[in-house]
Amino acid sequence: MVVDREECVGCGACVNLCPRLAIRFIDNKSYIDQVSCIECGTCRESCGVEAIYAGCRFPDIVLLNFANNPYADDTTTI
Amino acid sequence: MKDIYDIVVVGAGPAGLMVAKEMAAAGQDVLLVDIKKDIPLINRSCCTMLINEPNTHGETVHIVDNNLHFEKTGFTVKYSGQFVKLVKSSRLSPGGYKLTMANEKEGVAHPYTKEVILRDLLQEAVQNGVDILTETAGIKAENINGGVKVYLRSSHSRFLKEVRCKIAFAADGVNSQITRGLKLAKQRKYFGSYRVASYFLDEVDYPYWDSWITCVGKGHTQLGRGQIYMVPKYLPNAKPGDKPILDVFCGSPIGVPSKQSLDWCLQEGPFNEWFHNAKIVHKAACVLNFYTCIMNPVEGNIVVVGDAASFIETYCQSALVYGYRAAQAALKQLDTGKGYEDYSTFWRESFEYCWPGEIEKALQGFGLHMISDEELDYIFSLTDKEEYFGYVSENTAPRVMKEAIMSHIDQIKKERPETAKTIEKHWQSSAEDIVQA
Repeated sequence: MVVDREECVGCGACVNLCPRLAIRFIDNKSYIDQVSCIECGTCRESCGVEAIYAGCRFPDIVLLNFANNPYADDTTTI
Repeated sequence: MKDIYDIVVVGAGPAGLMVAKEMAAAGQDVLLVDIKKDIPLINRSCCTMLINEPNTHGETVHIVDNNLHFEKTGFTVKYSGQFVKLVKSSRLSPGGYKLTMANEKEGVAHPYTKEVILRDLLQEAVQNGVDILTETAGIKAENINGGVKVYLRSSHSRFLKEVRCKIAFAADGVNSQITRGLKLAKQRKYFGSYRVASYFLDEVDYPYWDSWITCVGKGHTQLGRGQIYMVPKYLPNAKPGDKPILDVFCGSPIGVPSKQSLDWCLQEGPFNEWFHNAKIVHKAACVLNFYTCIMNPVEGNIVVVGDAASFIETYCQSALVYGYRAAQAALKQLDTGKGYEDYSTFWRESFEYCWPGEIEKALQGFGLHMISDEELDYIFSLTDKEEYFGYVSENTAPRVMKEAIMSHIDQIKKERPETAKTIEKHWQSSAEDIVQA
């Protein structure tokens, strides 16, 4: 996940919600450590101003974790 | 920074600053850490209203010489900013009908500026000799050998730093990292999460400058989920005589984009004509996780204060009270070995959400989720011309709303029997149903 620091308002919500502690608060805005991030999407789902988006390092995992998962109704996929 | 302190406080919000300031004033060696670089800066959505209703969270707060005076606990917090006096609290249906609670004399709430309060508290904390570490997160706290080990991480480092202390305070807010690592957290029940987007708007053509507005109904947002609130307040640099700005914020369940809902409400919502010339002067956001309260907010020598222990929020004013009480209890504990009980008993007895049934009651007052907008317009058209005595409050306003609606129930039963049935069903709904609606 990547933070658009222009859009980020600096509320700090994602910092404590990250299960990998990958988010740091630098100059009152969030910054995601790309080495620690596992692209789970928790921060993206929690961002009130939609400032976090997928950097698509692991595109398949990213899709499965999104609320709008295109495969959600597809019972044939495992 | 040293390796050993008497007290470590994680989180420099109103509760954390109050604890740190009080402990340092009593001669303790205090370390205060926060993830922000500028502690008073507030980018988290927060209505920041002084709830002047007596006995709110066990305390009655008055404005005395422009400062906040806490009558029951008996202390005063300096405030050098501006207050707005709101005399009405209205629930607004998409058709523009209202259910209004009013208190012309005392006001229903007084929005103030949190940034100013924090700036003043921080100044006092520094004067009292608190060591402050900014851009540092509290990761974990452990009870060890009669003391506490707190793990900290700087935003600019990959390594954890250990600090030892006698007592640690977790004041890191509603999404508290420290609390999540405690055994206490396992006893909490989780209902769901909301995210909030907030715009401070200038040049709004707005008719309700004396009111707190809750937009009830599905027609206010694009997807029909979430809720819009509007509150006039002052910016931190406001001077006497300035015009307040309007804080409009939208809270919606996770999965529903709150910023998109807010943008839609301002551009295409039922009251979009108010916002045609509006300018955004500030943006804020937040996430709230709905957990039941921690009933006993002390584990070993780790004390949980403020929002970290609560359901949703304690209000800024009550965070100050709980911070003050926790500090007094901790000092007594250090002195006599028995003090924490004072704080946890006060918490359980004063914080309404610790009491059975209060969470459901409060949530039922946030809206009428089972009722369609057309029915809502009808119900609010019955209450539109009336004013009911009340305050802005999560705990008492739902009762006023219920009584207001129920006072018309005979007429509703006669004219709209189906609606009457839905209304009666609404008062039975569980917390889960409402949070997920």
